[in-house]
Amino acid sequence: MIKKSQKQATKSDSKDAVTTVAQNKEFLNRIILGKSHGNNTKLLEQLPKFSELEEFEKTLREQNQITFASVFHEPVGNYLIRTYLLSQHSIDKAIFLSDVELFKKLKNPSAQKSVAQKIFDQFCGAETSNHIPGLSVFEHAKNRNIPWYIEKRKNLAVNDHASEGAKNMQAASQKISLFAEGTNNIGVFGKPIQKIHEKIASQKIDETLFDEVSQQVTNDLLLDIFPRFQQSAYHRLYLRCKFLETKPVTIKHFDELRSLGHGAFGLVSTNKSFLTNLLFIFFTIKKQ
Amino acid sequence: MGGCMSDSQDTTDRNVEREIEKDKKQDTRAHKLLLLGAGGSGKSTFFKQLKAIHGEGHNDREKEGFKRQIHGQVVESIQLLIRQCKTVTKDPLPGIKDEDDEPFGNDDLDDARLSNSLKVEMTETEIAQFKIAKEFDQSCQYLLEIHGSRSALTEQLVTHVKSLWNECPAIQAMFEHRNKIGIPDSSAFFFNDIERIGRSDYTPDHKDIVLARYRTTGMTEKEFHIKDAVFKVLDVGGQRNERKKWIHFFDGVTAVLFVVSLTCYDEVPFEDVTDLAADVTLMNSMLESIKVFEDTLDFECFQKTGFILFFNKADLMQEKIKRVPITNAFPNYKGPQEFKPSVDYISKYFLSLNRVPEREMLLRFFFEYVLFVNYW
Repeated sequence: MIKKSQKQATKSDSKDAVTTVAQNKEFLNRIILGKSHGNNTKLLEQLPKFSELEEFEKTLREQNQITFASVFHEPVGNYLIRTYLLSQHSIDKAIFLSDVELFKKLKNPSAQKSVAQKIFDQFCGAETSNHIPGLSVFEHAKNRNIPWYIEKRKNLAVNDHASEGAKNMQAASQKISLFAEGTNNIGVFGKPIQKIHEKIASQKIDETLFDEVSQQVTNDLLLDIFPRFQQSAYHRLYLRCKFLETKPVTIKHFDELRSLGHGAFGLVSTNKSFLTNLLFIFFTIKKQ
Repeated sequence: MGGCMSDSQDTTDRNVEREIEKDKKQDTRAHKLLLLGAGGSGKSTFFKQLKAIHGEGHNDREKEGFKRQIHGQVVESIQLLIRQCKTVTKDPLPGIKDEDDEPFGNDDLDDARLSNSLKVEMTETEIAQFKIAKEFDQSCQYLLEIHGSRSALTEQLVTHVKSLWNECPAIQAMFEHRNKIGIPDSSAFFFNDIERIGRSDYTPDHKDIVLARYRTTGMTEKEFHIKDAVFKVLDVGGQRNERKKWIHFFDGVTAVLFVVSLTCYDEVPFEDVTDLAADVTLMNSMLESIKVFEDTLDFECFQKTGFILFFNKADLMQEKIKRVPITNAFPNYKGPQEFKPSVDYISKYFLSLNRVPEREMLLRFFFEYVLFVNYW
């Protein structure tokens, strides 16, 4: 009996890396990039198997390329860490960090002010009843009406327990406090938060406003999330994507969508890259 | 075109449904155990020990992670100690442009409050013992400038930490007040062993791993095969903001393992840490644990679930009870200031919180290192 279950487990293990990410992919793309991309299954087909990548991982480690900073600041790594955080119900930490990074780039004082206030309200202050996990401050400004996928996610927690027959789940979650009311989602408490609050109130806003708090959040991600991330399927997928990057780009990485026209020298066509989902224009010239 | 799209949608839906069904079947076969408790009660420690004893142990990659956690803990603790010493003695932080230097309404207020409460609690001579001598200024500056735990322990850092820890009486005096400023007990162990930990070829052994403390974010789960039974143990974060997420893991729980730290009756919860003037009788982690336990018992879906109460850190409690009475958290306690009656009182108190008589409640005491020594 146990043997059988283990067999099943390994089977689903090998599958889960690919399927979960593929399932999450569109969902996340919409959240992170704010665009719809469609499933990128061709990319997944092209990836090498993880078991072939031991050597590759070793060399990357020797070059010190698998550190939190390098993985987090790289598009694929950042995307996968976010995916992992979403499964940990802690996506806000990553969104907070990226929002603070964007905030630091702001030059205009009035923009700084309003963004600082927004970041504070969304991440540092107490969680409000209409808080949406995983929504960046800048995104909120862009599309005021909340899209369907976020609505869906809000209901997810309730639906999870529908099987329990707990219809009064919502009532229960309101009743039970666990001392958790009035806390923020990034897990920083006390003096640093107070300081920011005072500074915003007294209008002393500069780039270093969130430094102390973002330092703490980074530490949380670095010391607790990142080691666990490295154990997960997401890390394996990261390595596989990384390996693909080392290979030269060839015509096989593109899908021809349509031809735009032809002239005396050759063809012009639109092609889509599997890897980045970006569109390219191809000029094909005949060899003579 | 449209029909074709919805067709493929249907097949994927069906596949997903099948996967969910399969997962459900597996879920019912395994006993799902949920580790709950307030922050710093030792849930993750328990989880780590389970893994070492019944699982396959920790592999190299995990050990690398623990090494970082230990280094992080050392840096964080020493920084906290220095900062607290400086605040109490109102010594400006050397060479650092800290916001504290600027005249802010908040900090003025804070200082006023701090000095007021200090006047009540501490005399000048008591404050003087936290004064870090001039000769350590360089070390303090170096340590405070380090950016969190991003860098590994360097040789220079090790020597600075060592000199501060071994030679500076102010740091030692501040460490005695660790319950109020949120420094874990195990930091002393790492400070004493700083040379071994700072070596470049250092790999944490089992004791180091068990003692390492870091705040858990989110949830870790692991399956254990003990004899013929399959246990799926879920370890969650205990800080206040993490507790909001607990509700996601409540489905189909066989038993709740509620972990309580016995020594936390004079510790200020991590979320409330301010300064030395904090009053531990008003708010301490034990009171918080009790509240969290009560709330957990009240959950609709736990009415028929068995509870196992783990009283953790009994070994540290034996030491602490000599210095601090449990009346901090239990004002009605009238017994002697000894280990056995105190622990009995605490366990009875926790059991009395259960309002459903048919619910199964088990008590376990957990000696952090003893359990561990037995097996290794």
